[in-house]
Amino acid sequence: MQCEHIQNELPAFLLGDLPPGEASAIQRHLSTCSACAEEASAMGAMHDRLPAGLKDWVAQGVCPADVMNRIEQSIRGERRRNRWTSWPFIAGYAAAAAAVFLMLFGTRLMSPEQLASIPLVGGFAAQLFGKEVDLNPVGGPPAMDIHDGVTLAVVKADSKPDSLTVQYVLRGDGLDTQATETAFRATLHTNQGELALRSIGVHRRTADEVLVEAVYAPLTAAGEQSLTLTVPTVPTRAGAPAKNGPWKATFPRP
Amino acid sequence: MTTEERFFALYKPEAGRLYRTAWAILGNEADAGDALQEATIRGYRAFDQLKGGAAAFPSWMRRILVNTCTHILRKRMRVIPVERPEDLTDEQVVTGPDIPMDSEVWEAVKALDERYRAVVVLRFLNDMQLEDIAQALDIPLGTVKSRLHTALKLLKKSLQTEHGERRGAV
Repeated sequence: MQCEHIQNELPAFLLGDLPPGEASAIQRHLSTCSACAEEASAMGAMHDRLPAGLKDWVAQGVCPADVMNRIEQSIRGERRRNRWTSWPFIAGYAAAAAAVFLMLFGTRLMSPEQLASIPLVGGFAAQLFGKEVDLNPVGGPPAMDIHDGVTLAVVKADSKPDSLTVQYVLRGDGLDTQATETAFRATLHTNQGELALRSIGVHRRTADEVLVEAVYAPLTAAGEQSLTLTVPTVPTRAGAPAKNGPWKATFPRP
Repeated sequence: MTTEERFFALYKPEAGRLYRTAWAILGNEADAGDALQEATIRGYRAFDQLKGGAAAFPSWMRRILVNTCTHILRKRMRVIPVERPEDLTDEQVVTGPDIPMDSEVWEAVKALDERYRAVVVLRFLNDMQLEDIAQALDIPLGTVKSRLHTALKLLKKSLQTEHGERRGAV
């Protein structure tokens, strides 16, 4: 092995980052080559000295006041932005605007671009879901439930002869949005009884929101006019307080 | 307590160390301030994803900061020409006469060319593995090794020089 190659590998050798075979070869070389052994010794001293020297210097650091002021201002800006787009704020806003919205736009499904063009409600709806959304899947008031810091909103309901698909959003601080799909399961009841859940998937996860799609057994009886989606519990992150369900959202037959 | 208050309660005790970490990686205070601001906003936005509570905050925030800094370095390094053997000259060695002892190592590291300083800081301050450094800076592993080797030789020379000067001055 060439001395140049050995010396180039010395940092990795000293860090224990080399495969055993290569490390042994370097060890053998060092026992016979005084120049490389001397280099390894000097490098070893630097390896011992640098971490402590740098970490001591960092530990004595003080963030300059102007930098801290800038940072605090930008976080305040974030807070204002978040307040404007926060779910409870939007939910209240939506309730106020829902009547106008529904009167004007009925139950059509809309693209985010179409939603964004709607006065009052459109901007937040497009931003929230970024996909086709119908805040009121089948007409009537928005199917939502908000309590204990968690919001449930039904955003889509699609009835087919062989299945009924419901999409709903769960949102809240402390929600464990990375939990398994079944942790977000919901029962679906009509006035005739419960519809069996066939499958469930999470279409989108953010820090505090999941978009769930659940497929249920189809509607059959003509008398099934109203449906109630019930989320009994939601998963919360470690350290976050438990949320007290259930959350219920009722909407007319699609 | 609001999210902002909880965030700053954990953040402020770390701010000085974070600032110097960014300074060490980027090599100057102006860029360190900008990087810290950007990383702090990222941290605040992702604060509710922090796992492990308050004890995990310092290393979590430092990871965000190091990622932000290496991203800045990658952009910078794209315009730095490929290193040549003649780069290894005595001109890069610092010989400040009034350097306080506790910052001796930092002053020597700071004087290194950015390519060398970055790998030294990421390895010895942030304890990153060589492969992770290669990935973070988007350079081959062999380049990380050769830069580290060159950097250590320069630092050895630089620190010995400072010691010699200091001893001579006493």
